[in-house]
Amino acid sequence: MAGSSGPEFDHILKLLLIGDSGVGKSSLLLRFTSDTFDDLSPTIGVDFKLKLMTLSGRRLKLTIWDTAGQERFRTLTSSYYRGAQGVILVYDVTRRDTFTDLSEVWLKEVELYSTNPDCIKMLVGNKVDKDAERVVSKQEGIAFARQYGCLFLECSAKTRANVQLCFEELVQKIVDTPSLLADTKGFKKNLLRPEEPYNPQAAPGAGNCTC
Amino acid sequence: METMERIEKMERVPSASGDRFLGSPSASSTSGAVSDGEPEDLQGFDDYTIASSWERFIASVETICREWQAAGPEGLLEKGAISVDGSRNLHRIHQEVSFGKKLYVIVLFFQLGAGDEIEDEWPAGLHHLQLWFGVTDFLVAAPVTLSGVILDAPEATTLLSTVAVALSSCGSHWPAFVPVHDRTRKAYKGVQGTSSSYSITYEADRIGSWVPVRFMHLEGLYELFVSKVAFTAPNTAAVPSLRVEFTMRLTYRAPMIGYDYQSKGGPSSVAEPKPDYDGESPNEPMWDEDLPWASWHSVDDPVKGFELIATWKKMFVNDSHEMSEYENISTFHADEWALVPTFSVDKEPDQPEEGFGVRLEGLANAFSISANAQFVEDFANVVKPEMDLLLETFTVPPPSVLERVLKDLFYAAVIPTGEGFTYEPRGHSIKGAPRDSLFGRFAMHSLFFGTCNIRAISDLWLEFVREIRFCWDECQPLPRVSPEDSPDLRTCLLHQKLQMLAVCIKLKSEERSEKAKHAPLHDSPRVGKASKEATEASRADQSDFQQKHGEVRTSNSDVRHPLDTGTKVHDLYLDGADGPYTDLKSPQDEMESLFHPGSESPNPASKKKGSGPAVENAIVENGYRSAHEEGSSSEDDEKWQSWSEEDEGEADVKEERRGSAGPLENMMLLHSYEPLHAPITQMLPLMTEDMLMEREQAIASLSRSQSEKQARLRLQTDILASDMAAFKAANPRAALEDFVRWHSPRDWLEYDDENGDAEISGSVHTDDSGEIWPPRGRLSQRMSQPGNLWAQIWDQIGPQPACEQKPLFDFQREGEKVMHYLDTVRPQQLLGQMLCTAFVNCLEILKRTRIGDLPRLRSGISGLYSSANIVLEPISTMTKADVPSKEYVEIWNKALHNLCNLFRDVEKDVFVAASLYQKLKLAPLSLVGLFNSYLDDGKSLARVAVGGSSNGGDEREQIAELFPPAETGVDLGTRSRMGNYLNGHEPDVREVKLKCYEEDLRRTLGSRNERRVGGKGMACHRMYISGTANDLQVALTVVSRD
Ligand SMILES: Nc1nc2c(ncn2[C@@H]2O[C@H](COP(=O)(O)OP(=O)(O)O)[C@@H](O)[C@H]2O)c(=O)[nH]1
Ligand SMILES: [Mg+2]
Repeated sequence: MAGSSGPEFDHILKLLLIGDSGVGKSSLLLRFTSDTFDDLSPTIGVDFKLKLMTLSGRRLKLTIWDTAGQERFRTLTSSYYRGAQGVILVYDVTRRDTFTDLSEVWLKEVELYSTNPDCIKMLVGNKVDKDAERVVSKQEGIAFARQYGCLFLECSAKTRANVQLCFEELVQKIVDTPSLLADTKGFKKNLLRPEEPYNPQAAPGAGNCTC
Repeated sequence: METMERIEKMERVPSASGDRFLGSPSASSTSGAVSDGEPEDLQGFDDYTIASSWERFIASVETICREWQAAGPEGLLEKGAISVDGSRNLHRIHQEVSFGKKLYVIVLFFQLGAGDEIEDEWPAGLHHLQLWFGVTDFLVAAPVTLSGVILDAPEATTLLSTVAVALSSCGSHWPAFVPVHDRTRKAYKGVQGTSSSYSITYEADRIGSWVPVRFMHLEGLYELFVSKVAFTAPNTAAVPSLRVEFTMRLTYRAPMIGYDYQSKGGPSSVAEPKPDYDGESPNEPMWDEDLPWASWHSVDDPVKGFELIATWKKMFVNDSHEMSEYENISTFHADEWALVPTFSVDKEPDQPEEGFGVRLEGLANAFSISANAQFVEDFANVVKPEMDLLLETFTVPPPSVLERVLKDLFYAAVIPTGEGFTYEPRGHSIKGAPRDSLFGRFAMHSLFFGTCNIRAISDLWLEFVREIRFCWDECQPLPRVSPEDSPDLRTCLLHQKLQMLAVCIKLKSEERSEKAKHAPLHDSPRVGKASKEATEASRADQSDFQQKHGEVRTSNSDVRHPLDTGTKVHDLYLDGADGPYTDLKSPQDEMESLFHPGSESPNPASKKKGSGPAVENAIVENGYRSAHEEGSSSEDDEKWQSWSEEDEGEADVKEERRGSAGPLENMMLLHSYEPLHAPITQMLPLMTEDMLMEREQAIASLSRSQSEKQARLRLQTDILASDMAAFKAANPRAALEDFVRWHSPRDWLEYDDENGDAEISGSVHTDDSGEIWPPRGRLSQRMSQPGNLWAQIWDQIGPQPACEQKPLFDFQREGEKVMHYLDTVRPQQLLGQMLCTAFVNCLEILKRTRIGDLPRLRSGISGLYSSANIVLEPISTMTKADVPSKEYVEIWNKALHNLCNLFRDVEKDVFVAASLYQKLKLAPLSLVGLFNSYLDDGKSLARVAVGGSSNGGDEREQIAELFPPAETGVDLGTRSRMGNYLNGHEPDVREVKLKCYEEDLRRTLGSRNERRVGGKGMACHRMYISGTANDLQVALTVVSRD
């Protein structure tokens, strides 16, 4: 089990990068994990990177899965939604089709394959450095995020603008969501939580979880 | 002995009217008369011993009363007072006292908390003495005998006197009662002192059989009351008009629910006995036959019927005529309506409990025991002696039961699509199997298999696996599992395994039939059209499948269009199955045979986002290698090698087109200007969750050294390499650019301008439409980077159609792996998945039950979901590697036990709600009110007001539907019926309370009765009467002054 590597971290989190091919998912990941920008080969199937970070006193091990956007790989990548606490939906601000595909393709995949009902979604508009070619405005991004309940940021893997912040915000949100953090500690401790007794006398709606 | 005298006077009040106030022949004997029995000489003061025995009796009663008085209600609870069943906060405490040889019991009934229901004329949950006499706290003294009733009037008098004396000397105003006569008469005498100069006498009696007609009518009751308070004979003509306050309560009992009025109605059936509440006629439909649990069991209807209680508050009548008018008053106009459900009696503890809850508990127990063994066989065959003892107590149902279960699981014709075959873990993350799927249904059957013990379950499981093994070996489609789906990772592992197996069986049988087909046609390279059509029918469902998933990528620019019709793919599939092309038809001819001309519609709007296995035709081709030894990850190295080697070996056949799925419209190869053919690609490997985890771990762990990174790349690139090899085979003259245009269109950049680089060589064509060829464009930056992985693979891989490639997915091996899993699954892992599946499916059944809009139960159910989630989620995701510690298992067991109890509570409420909903659908407000009252007040006090101020809408019409119009078969004459009809039904009980204030009485009677002077209008005489044609209960309260 992954937990055998000892107490060098408090939680393991699984994040997933999705979006059309060429929007800069692999570049974002490379920027975040090794702070470089390179022209990478297009991702084949599924790739993976690891990052250790400390956030408000918690030592976190992030396992970040990078997927290929091509249709041929989609059935393969769909399995990797399993157990992800955070999904990063990336589009290219200079290509509208990558933005519209998010709602038409990628969100549906999340719906279909995510096994974690409380999983946090983050919308990321990449390549803001190419300001002259921008076709998707920030307002549109905000509206999308509001409609589908996502976090939202615009960034550039090339200039590193907002890249660190993007991952940090997502991780912070996950850490703040108890149901997501519960099963990140290796073996399930949540069983020890006290149970809520059945109380039909309670007012309607009470006892439902907040999310 | 003032008190005694007073009691004697009181005693005389009723007898002044001649006899027992109802005119019964058994008149009470002269009061105060002493005949026999222990307390013989009450006035015999000279007999010191007897006197003192009576005085001692009084003294001890007094002591008890003082004690109770001093304690106060809270103190009494500490002294062991218990609450009275079915009451609202009424409690009782008792103590025994002996008087000579006799033993008496004195009981104090007291109301805890202030009497806040004073407003209510007819509160529910009253003790009958409270109801009859309007008292709150009171004492009852009775002899300790079997009947609890004093048969003898003097003895009653003595006892009552004793208590009265005792109470008066401790200054208490508790009314005191003694039961008289035999029990069925419900007769009481009582007395109460007050702070002023009044005293009150109480008397109750009953006629239990034939009731005089005049007492069946309000008129007669009025006359009875007036005669009582005004000392006239009840049947004399001269009943004085007396202003009387009057309230009435009518109770109607709805005929039993489920009673078929249509077929049993009509005059001829009057003589037929009405079905009694507990009788179950086999012909009658079960009340729950339409409810979601009906396919598993039937439960007793918890609500057997209803009572409708209509009440009228304060009214005044001045004479008997006015009173009689109230028999014609419309029940719909009553001040209040209350609907009271009649619940079925609780089950005896030795009767088996109904519902899923108790069965789930059984499964949970089996789960805890399952930790004790390594294999399921251990429980079925009993190998360990210590387990022997435990298992001996478990019974296994007879083979016939087993057979029935297996029949249902494996031989019922079900098409595994639709709601029951999809699993949507909404509101929880417990993994389970869809309810109608093979494993889902197996888990449900196990609940009802014998007593759901581990031994029976193990037996069932072993047979279950044997049947599955048969399906696999014999290529029989796995029932209840769709071979069209890839394993759903949201379901439990066992279900995923069966999904995997279903696909493997399908592939295996396809391979078999291909082989069979090819054997006789060995020398004929192509199958004739006729034989193609012959096989078509037998593959009807497969073509269906391909309609959904058989996606062939056709592309003109960067959009791929899956084929829209199944037929096309089907043709394609058959053609492809014929193996490598041997006849060299022109591509155009190929196209004709593959696609019906004109049917191709590259309409982007019809673009399907298929998510199942993509083109998977290749997998069934005959060129399949059966004897390869593929490893899921470790042997990928080898695979890599084999491709490279074959590359060189097959260099000479490069020009031959093989494994094409057909040319793509408007896609031409850059260099040769030939149509670009989409290759038949391999089916992508299916993975169950455990395989995926293994793979994830492999990928994640291979990241340190350079060589590890290489290994990981190879792990990732198998599909790409396979696609490239297939593409090369289908397009012998293709370049990487062509592959990229087809496979990753976004990495091909076209130029609009003339200044683009002209690196791409080849002859320039101008086709009919005047298009420039080759198009000016280049690979994207990242794709053309030196050392680009795609280019590397492209260079290393030789052409090889998918059918000749080493399969990406080896169904033979994967199928065997599934069977191995089924054979060796740890009992705990199995039982864990069964438990989670069964629990979630039972929960779904509760959730699906139609209960109307009952928010509190809904939130109870969703609370159950979150509790279940906490306990079951870790069990459902337990992997082979997770072997929980003993402590952990103990915590689990406790948590599971609590969870099952919780389930049982919610389930019971769901039964009640479902039953109420069924009967009160049309009256949603009453339904909610009644259900809430059931939750708050309990079964015995549940009721709801219908119409009136306390309820928003008026649902009286709907409630009255519970009383379908009564038969008018036998006319007994209006005189012999009670009146107050509701839909033609007489009330089952009519209760009236009559009150007469002293002032009114004096006004009417003048000073005729000096003894009857009241206080300031407060003192009133009252009478409670409850009656039907054969039962009349009367209780009289009379106030008097000495
Ligand atoms: N200008 C610019 N180019 C970027 C940025 N991020 C990625 N790219 C380029 O976009 C192309 C696709 O990037 P890649 O990370 O492979 O996209 P992926 O398919 O989503 O993984 C590459 O050529 C990158 O160099 C960015 O922020 N700005
Ligand atoms: Mg990438």
